[in-house]
Amino acid sequence: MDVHAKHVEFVFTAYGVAALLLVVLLVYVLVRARLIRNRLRMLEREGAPRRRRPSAAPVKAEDELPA
Amino acid sequence: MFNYLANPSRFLKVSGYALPVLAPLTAAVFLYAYYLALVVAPPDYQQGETVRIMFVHVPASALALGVYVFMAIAHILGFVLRHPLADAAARAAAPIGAVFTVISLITGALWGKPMWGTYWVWDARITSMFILLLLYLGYMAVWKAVDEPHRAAKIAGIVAIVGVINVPIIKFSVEWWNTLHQPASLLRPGGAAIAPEILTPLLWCMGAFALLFATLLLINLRAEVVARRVRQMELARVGSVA
Repeated sequence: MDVHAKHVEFVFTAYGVAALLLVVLLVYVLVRARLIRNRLRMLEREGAPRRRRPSAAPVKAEDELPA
Repeated sequence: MFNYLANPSRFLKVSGYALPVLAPLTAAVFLYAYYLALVVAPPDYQQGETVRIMFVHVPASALALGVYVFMAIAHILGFVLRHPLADAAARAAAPIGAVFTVISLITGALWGKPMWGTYWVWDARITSMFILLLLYLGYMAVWKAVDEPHRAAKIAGIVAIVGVINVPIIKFSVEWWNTLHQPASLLRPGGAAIAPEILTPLLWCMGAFALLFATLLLINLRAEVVARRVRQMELARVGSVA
């Protein structure tokens, strides 16, 4: 590649902007994944249950089967 | 395989094995592809060195369209087969597709200035590509705005499926309307209208972008699966306190 060619600054700018955006995307994806993993570890350390326990609320009248 | 990976824990296990292979492969293909593009490929007889912008612009544009189609197909599978990872896959793909669209628009403008004498014109190809960016942003806004994940998936799915109509409009805009943008030179009847010295690096660059998409999608989708588990645990904790 001839770095002194006509309009070569447009090539450098295009590659620079693309590389910058891809690096930002990569950092965003990695940081997001790490934050979510850390949150999961924190919840596990605190002993949070994996699933909601079945409710002990009384069965509503409309849910009862007809006799 | 498709049903096998429906189990989130199994998906996390399999993708955990795939990522350490996929990530270095992506890096290696990227290095080789851009060595071909910047060092080996000759300058164009008309455009000179500016033709090298094509090695970023074309892969980013192709992937921008491809990722949107992927999202629409994922949502259709989510609606029809109730695959638990389909909506998550579409959501994980959206920011990657949006960045590819931005790269396509910016590198297109930087290629347009020396070739056409202007950065931007509201012609059919560029306008429809800009609409694609708005669709990506709208899609991501729906996921952010709606708290309940099943409802968000439904609304976002409608945006993705309705919006996919824009993809053939982008592809054929250069044939249907009189545009400043050049007609298709890669996927066209009669084969590619590009010299092999330029076509080979271009295909390598497209492969590198596709691998990058696969790698980032896998990382994002794994995060999405863990985020759902976190949400479940937070809800369970609130439920047990109440």
